[in-house]
Amino acid sequence: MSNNTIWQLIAKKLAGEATPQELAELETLLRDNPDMHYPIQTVADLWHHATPDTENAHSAFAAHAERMKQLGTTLDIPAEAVPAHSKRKYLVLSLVLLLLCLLAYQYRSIIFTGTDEKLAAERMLASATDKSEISTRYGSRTKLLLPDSTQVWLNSGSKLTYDKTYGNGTREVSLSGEAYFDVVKNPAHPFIIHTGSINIKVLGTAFNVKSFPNEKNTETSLIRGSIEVTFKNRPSEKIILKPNEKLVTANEELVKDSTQQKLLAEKTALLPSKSQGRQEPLVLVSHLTYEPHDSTIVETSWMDNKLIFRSETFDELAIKMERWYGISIRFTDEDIKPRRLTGVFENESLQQALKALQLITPFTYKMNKSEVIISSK
Amino acid sequence: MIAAANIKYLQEQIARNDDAFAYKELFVSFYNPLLRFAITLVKSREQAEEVVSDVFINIWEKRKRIDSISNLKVYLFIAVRNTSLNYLSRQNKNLTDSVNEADMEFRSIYFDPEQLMVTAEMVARIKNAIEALPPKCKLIFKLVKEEELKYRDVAEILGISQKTVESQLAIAIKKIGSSINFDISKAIAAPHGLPK
Repeated sequence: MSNNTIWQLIAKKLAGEATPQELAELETLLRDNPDMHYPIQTVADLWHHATPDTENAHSAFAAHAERMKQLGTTLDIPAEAVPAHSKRKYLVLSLVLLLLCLLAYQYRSIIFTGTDEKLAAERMLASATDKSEISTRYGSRTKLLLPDSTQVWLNSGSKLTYDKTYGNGTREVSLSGEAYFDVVKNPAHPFIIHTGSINIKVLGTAFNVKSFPNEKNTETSLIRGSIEVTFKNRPSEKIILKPNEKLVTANEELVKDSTQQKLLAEKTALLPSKSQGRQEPLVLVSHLTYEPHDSTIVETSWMDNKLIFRSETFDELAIKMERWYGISIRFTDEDIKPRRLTGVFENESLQQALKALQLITPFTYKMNKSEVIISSK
Repeated sequence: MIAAANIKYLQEQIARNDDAFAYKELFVSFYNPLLRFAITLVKSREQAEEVVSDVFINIWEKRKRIDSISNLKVYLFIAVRNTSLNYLSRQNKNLTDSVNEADMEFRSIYFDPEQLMVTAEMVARIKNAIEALPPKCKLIFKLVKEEELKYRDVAEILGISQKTVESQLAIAIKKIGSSINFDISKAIAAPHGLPK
């Protein structure tokens, strides 16, 4: 009797396992058995009727995280949990995640360096003192979540290192490059950032740190909260930064540069150097810079994919563009380097950006592979 | 059920960035299906919760390697099966014994008669038909229907052949369908018996 065959084919169809031939066969069988239409339709309705989840997975996760903690792994997760599921939310989430996947594929450069992958492999078996290292290549930016839910946006060409024990008592990271931190409040365990020249101690706050080894200054911009900055070679001195303030620290001996002189003239505080040694950091506290037309904070604009430059020399801008676009820039004529440029790149391609710069100042450029060669006209 | 592309994304985030948020997302996405499955196997809600938690602890501990798992969903179900087996072996039981035991705690399939446009009597009939399925048959039905697993995946998770999955699901569908079939013939006969 074909009855069994029908049910078998229905089962396959519902499970999404039927071949086109089987579907055609089923159709023929159904035509010959009209009495089965109703039960089959009802079974199909039942099948496609999603079973609601009965358990609250979020509270289950809280219990799970607690259990992990007891077993020695701290895994604190932000309180603002994912909202309750609805089909639409799931759909939106799916689309967003799919987009992210596509973007991640597009920007494959957001990956670890080769050594880090090796490190990661070793880390699986490694002791608790091992370091986690996350770095971004030129031209790529990433966001990460530390075990205590502190969020870090890492700008291109930057590296963040932290102990594997991070979160178990201490919260210390090392930064080379630029990052924006949104630190989860935990007065018992201050969050400490080490850079080449300064240490920043935080209780719970959001701020931006820029400390590239190839730039003259380290900049710490505070958006909210308060932070305490100490200097590697002068541990007794500290500066407390208030919201909207920016601390500029010279990475090395202050370069005789006209902007620097101007900045220093506008300064609101200048710590006196105790000695004239090369490693003495010169510091100044100034205010955050806002873009006049839309009051974007210049210091954190990179997070919105904006590269803002204000009266910067072409060679300073070139360093930023190298990181931004993941290319290298070479000048054939020295006289172009000190030209001052002001502008914003938002969605411009490298070509468009160079063309826009040509409107401000005359130059010619050649591009080969990943190098841009800039010459005077 | 979470889409495959999302799983892949979460997998990468956890493996490459130690992303605790992605880890939570993964846990939340799979908690209900895995708990349901674990309850079927270990017959104890408390134990099932522990099984799922153990599986996820293992995922976090081995996070650097999870990137290479080709089908994380199936991996998680198999991990729940194995962890449950370990638990059962401590009680000198095996998987078949356990699956065949009456599953008291396994929640029956939910459906809303209004949305199905059927009578309450029919709902009861369908429910009975599902509950009356042999345990293994019922488990296969639920894994394919609720957890949206392929025949191939169910075969791998339960350690049976794909053919068995196919025939067991056909039996389940036939039995449920027949209960509806029976109802309709009665419904056609009913008007004669109605009081004037």
